[in-house]
Amino acid sequence: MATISLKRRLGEFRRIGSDWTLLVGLLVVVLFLGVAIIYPLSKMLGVSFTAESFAYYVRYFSSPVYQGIMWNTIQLGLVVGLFGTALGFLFAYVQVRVDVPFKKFMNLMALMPIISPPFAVATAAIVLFGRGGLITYRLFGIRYNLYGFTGLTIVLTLSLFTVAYMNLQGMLRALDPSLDEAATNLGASKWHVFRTITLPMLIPGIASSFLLLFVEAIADLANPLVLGGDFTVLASRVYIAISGEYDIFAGSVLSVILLVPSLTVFIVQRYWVSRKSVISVTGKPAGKPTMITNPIVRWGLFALTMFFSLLILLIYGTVFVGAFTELFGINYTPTLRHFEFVVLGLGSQAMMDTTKMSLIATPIAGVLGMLIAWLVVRKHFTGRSLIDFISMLGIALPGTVLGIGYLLAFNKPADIGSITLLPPLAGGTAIAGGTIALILAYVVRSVPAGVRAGVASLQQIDPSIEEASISLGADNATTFRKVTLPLIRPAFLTGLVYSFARSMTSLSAVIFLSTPYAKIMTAQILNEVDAGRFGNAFAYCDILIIMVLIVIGILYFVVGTTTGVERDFGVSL
Amino acid sequence: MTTQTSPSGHLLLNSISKVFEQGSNRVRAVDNVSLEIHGGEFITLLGPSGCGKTTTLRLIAGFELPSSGQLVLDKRDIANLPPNQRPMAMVFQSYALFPHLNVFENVAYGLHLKKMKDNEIREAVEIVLNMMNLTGLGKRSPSQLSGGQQQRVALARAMVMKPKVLLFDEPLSNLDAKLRIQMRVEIRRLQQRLGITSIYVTHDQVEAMSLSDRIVVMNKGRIEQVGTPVEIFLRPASLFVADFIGRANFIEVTVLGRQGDSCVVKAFGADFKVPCSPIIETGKQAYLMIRPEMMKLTPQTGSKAQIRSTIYLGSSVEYEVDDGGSMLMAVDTQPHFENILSEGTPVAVSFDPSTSYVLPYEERPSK
Amino acid sequence: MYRRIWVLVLCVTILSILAACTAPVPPTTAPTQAAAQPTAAPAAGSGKLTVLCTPQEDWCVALTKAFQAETGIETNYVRLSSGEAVARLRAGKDNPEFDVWFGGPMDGYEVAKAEGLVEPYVSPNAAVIKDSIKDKDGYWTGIYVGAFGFCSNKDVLASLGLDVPNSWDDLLDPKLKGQIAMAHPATSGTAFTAFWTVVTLNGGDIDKAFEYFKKLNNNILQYTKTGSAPGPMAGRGEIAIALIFSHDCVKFQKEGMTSLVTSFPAEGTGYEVGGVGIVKGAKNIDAAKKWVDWVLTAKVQEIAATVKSFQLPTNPDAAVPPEAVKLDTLKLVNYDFVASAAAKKGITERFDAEIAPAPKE
Repeated sequence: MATISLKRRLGEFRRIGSDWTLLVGLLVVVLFLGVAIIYPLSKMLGVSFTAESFAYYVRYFSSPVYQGIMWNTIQLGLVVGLFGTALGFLFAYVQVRVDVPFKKFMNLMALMPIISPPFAVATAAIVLFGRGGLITYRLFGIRYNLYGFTGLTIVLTLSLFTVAYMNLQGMLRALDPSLDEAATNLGASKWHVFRTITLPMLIPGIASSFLLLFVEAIADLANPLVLGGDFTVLASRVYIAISGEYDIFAGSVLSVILLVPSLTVFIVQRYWVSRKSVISVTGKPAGKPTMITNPIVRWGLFALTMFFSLLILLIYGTVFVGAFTELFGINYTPTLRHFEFVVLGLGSQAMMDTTKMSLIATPIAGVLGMLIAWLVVRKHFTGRSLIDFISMLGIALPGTVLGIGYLLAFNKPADIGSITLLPPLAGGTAIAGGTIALILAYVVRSVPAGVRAGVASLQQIDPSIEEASISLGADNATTFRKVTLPLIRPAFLTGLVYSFARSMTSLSAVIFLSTPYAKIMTAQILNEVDAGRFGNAFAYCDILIIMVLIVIGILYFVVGTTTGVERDFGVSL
Repeated sequence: MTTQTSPSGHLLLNSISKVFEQGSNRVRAVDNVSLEIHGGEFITLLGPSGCGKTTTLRLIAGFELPSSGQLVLDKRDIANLPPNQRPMAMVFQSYALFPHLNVFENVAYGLHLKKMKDNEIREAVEIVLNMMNLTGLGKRSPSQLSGGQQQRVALARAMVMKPKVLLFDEPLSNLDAKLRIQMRVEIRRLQQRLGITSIYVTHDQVEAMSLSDRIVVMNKGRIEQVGTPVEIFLRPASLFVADFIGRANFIEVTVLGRQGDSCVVKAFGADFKVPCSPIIETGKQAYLMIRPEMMKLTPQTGSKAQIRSTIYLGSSVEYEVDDGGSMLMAVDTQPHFENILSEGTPVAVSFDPSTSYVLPYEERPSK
Repeated sequence: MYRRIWVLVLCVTILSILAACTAPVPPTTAPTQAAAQPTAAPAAGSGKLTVLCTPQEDWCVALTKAFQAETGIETNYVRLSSGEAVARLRAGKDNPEFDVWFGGPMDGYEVAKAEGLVEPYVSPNAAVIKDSIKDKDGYWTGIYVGAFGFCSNKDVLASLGLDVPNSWDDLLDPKLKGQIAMAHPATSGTAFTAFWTVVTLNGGDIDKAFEYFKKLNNNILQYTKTGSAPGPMAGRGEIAIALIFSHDCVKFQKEGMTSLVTSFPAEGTGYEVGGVGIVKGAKNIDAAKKWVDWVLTAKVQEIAATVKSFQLPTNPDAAVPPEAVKLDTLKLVNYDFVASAAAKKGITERFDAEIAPAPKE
């Protein structure tokens, strides 16, 4: 039995070897995943499972304070997951099933967080709703304490619900309206249909949104740093351990503690909940869904969604206006000095560095994403699902965990004996000033979205189209170039757009990697926010948003406009 | 394009097997299949879904590699040749037209890969488009065509390559009934005109019978029978083939004697001399297969057999007959107004022995 | 159309590689532009300087700009708080990415000295600096002095019915629950100065200081990363009192946060001596020495006030800004930088474990 199996495996390798596109593609992908994910992760795990680190585990798990931090982290994940999914569902339901005006506006507001830098919402929330906030204090005279659990929940919910929104919107659109019609036909009321048909059909989608939000919420670093107050979570402890003490043992051990729930939940989401789905997200809608007609329900939902849309508008409006204001909250004299700092002053280096590195990372991530998707969907080889899984780790791993892994793996050369396999890639003294590790981190964080979009898109394309090309005499490479790629162009575009936005706005994975020669805009924003120079922070945010929009515009122009990017987005997350 | 006088495209499948692994399950999709296909022949792989016919076709095309066995085309072993290097062209069930290319570009796709000159390509494409009644549609995108037209483009795209072997994977199953019959005729006409060896996969026995020189009936990865449509229909090798091709009554009988190709069996209270499978011996149990069209019903008062139901279909009448507990099907293909039998009519049952057949006994698979 | 994708990918890749490899065009044409972006780590002695800068960012900007303009040495900086700076130096110990560390309280420099992260350099210009505010071997030299203070928002205090605090005990008033902010001693030298001041006031009893901060913790809203960060929080009215250096409080006041008032604890307050020191193994040792010489001059020390940093200059010839704290009017504790540095790691770790994450009572 074993020999037969071995023989077959050998046969498989022979076949892969004879198909050079597959061979080269596989080699590139394996090399990338190995260097950029497996190696740093194993370094981090290596440090976290030493005799020295064992004492840290004992300390953390026996200390009531750290037990509290762990519980805080889980609690935040649960609550944000719950509220974020609810808010995403509200927006998605109104978008698909309720006939009200301003839907485009609501959609735009719901998508805003994708291109938004991590501190925008938190900072604006402080000046609007904090103790000295424009709304809470100046308007209503309330000194409301935003710092801590409530504030974090509100800000994280508003920053992350987009994931749930896109996920559920796709599902609601794919829901066959004839099911509703059938139920109504059998005498069910609208509410009954919603309760007994729509909701149960969406449960896998709701569960998967909840779990994804949980993973993102517990990994978030930016908001706990700014708004945490006395509510401490694991991600910010990891950050303090590294940036305040450079205690790699504490950092790695805390990372592992953070890694366990996020990876568990991610695996549950990916391999269990998403398999339970009874509707295909990519299916064509069969007819028009029945709209909500009850005026109370209709306008009630409208008012609620509009309220949140306006809230988001207010927040981003504040980010925009705040950048032109001398001292938002105290002195509203218009000024350009914040922009002067960011565009002309020393802030410009971070802006240029981040943009350049993102621009390099974007096409690499885009092509890699499509390549992995193609290998995973179309090619049959041992380890296919493993490649799929590892590529998804880029997003499943909390950013701080990846960051520590990079710090440990790339600050020193990777040697085997006396042979240097890899020169140092991170840190100011590394080649190219440490930009390579940063670009690698950007690519790793961006690839999963491209892969998901590519997979979803490829699954919609009849494989016999590619077989037809091969049958007509084209080899694999020609087929990929002349048939596959043009067909998955929308997914490719989605991958590119998402990569760029993600790279420009990412913080937690790269904050430990910034060097004097490769400054990161988001880390700079953190400095400005932390030091209380909100004007500069807002100016950074404005410029970041504008640059992301410009690049997205250029991508659309060059790669071609397409419908369905939003849908692909939904699938991709 | 001219008819090839000495048809190449002779294909030999020698003990081909294909094993798929699904987790710990090993499925033998194609099990030791050997088959010789002559140059210019139109052969159909027929069988229920999951019988291995599509896998066999994909093995021939090269999309799957055989676990064991040889595949020889014109004396050359092609089992390890990648699909794009095999001189074959495939027509897919879903047509598989390139949605981002127009009709002309679709048809020209393979010719470009052959590095043909542009004007030659244009000429070849024009000819094949005319032949397929697609004149003037070159600029259209596939989505602007009807299903029948899309099917023609797919056919044109394959034909233009002048392959040695044309492969068809249920190409007509997405068309409506009327169009299907029309395309069936067209495919047969073209194939006969061009003389290209054609291998056609279908689960539709009427399609198989109307198109093929020979039919290969497959079941569970194995070949049940290879033969002309007439052989398959009237001389089925097994209960499975008899049942799959058309409808039939199976009556358990004991073979009373053999006379050359015929056996003597007792049915409906009389002895009949019926053509009979060569492996059947005297005294053995067997099945007497009678196609419903070959049944004769004559009203006869007092007969224990009775008409249970009568279904009038216009060109024929279908009867269900209760013959003392066992149910029989009968079809009257020449119904006259006055001789349609109403339900409850007692009838005498008879049949035409020359178009019936005696099959070896086997356990009937429960349906 | 697929061709367009490849063109795009190619263009973007080529452009970005070009952009990354060639020295980028500075955003402005001014020769004083300090934001030059070397993309490769400078080779030893390449006439570049990388400063690890701990004071307020605008001071860092002003100094690096001026230094580059004057010397022609391409100067770059990264701003990190004192604790972060030491952590970063520790991380890059074998292969330092910085040449010189500028600013931040002495305690940090003493830690760095003990860990072998800075190297000695006695600048000729250090002669004028008082001995009490420089290391005799030149591991660090004092460049400014500042006093720790309470930075209060008088409006918020009024709404709470409280007076401006004048004592460490005033901060423990239950009415101030969630109304005080300070930085985290692990990242910030400011916060550590506050802690060590309390230690000194308790006769060096670290446990007693922890008791105090445990009580104070009930009133703390948030531990920030940067020492001065609580200032703007108070300025915006998010909290009543920020525990920061008094010169930072004055700075925020001058920048428009007019509700802020500075006060000092009557029991005695701590102070910092901001230092400058050369990073051990600095790649650009000559430029680093030049920087140290330069920042000790009176003219350069006067730059601070132009960016509203009102610390006391250490060079006696430098003009003292009128906004600067009058040290002789304050009761200063006897701050032992060597002892504080020795105790620093233990204290920050204990603080991090016991106080910062602890729930409020």
